[in-house]
Amino acid sequence: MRSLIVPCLLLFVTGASAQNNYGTITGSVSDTARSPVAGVSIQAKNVETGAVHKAASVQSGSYTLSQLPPGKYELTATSFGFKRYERKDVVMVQAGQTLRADIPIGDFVSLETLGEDRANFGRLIFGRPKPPEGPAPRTPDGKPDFSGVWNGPLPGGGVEAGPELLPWAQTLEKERTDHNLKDNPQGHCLPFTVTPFNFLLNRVIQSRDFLVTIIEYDIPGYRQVYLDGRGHPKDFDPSWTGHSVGTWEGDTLVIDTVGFNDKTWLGEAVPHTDKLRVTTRLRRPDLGHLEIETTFDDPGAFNKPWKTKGVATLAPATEEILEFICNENNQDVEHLIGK
Amino acid sequence: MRIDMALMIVGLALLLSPEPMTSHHSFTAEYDSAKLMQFMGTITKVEWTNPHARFYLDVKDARGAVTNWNFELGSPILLRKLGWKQDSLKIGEQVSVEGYLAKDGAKMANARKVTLADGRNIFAGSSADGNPTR
Repeated sequence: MRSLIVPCLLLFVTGASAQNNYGTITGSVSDTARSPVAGVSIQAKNVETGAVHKAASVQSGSYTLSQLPPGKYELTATSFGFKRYERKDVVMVQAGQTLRADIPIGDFVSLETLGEDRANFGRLIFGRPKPPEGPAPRTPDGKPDFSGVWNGPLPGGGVEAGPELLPWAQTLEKERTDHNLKDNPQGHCLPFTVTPFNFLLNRVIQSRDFLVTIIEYDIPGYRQVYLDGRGHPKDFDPSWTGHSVGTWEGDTLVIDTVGFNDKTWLGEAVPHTDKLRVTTRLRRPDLGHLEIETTFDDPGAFNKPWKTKGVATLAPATEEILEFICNENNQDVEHLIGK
Repeated sequence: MRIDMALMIVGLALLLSPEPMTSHHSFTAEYDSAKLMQFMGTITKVEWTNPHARFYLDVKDARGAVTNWNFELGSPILLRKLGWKQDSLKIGEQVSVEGYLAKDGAKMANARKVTLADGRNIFAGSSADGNPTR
């Protein structure tokens, strides 16, 4: 079976109706272990018109780009956790034809290391206990109370896979991935992200005047948000975590964070500037769920704001946040190699 | 089947998340996925530390020369959530290890499978049963 697939990365599959004015590219995405990979964003760009067509691979790893006007296409595939795939030769699409283009996509991160392999990440996500049911609690002054230990947000649907980057940022992101993410700050035990939650456990501590998250798997393991009505300081020194203030819009807490430095890599390799503004909207529709909508706006690096949505679930009260002193034994740095 | 589903969701989650849902460093920057090696030896040291737990193995070659190899595991945070503890590996134990070699030639590898002399797998993270085997 493999011998059929691997050498024939692109082949003519079938002729469709002569009436059809469009062509199709279809195929399967697999990793270095030849396992199917879902959720990969596949893009076909028409070389002549610049038109971009997008699809995502499904559970079986397969994808289909249909309704493609005839022409020459550049095929790329991206997903966090994997190397960017760029097909070397241009794909010729003709009306009424279906082409097959299988995509071998290389693992990037530690998807093999015991404890950090994909199956275990999947288990950590799927093995989460069902959150309790009931109404969302309120603070004595009637505001929604977000306190609790939360299993970090898992992305919801209907959001963009990543920001549309300005050319310089595109170039820098490619450079970073081409060099195996060697200089990613988190590899050096510097902060992982600019948001107040990570995907493992997060404890929210809330009072009338502030909200703090204790983040299990980030550096530093906390973020603080002022709720006392103050604004952002004018003389704030750019920092990794920025300056956060929160205001209430009904039952939604809107956290506005500015004052970032430009050092964090978003997601895996996405650059940003010190113009970055992160708006986090928190809503607790019931006892067990925390909806988190985040908008990343950076006119210095993005064409338009990038919005993500996620839902955190309340963890059992017995859950304890573990320690992550990253620099305790970080032997990796001296062995990281770029291209 | 369960693993397929896990792969699907993790893939999707990775795609859409602004936070890295992965190891603290890039696998490909440090290890060579084309150099998967088998080792047999005796555990000499266990480091239950962040960002990675590690263990060290004395491996004897065909001529009897002994080399001490350094194996990387996941973070204790992630290992503990899966039921593993710092004594899951014991000094003096004979194990065989499957791992990817470091690219820079250091005596280091990334452990993807650890098997005891009786055939049981430790840290069986890739198994589908959902439980550590020890």
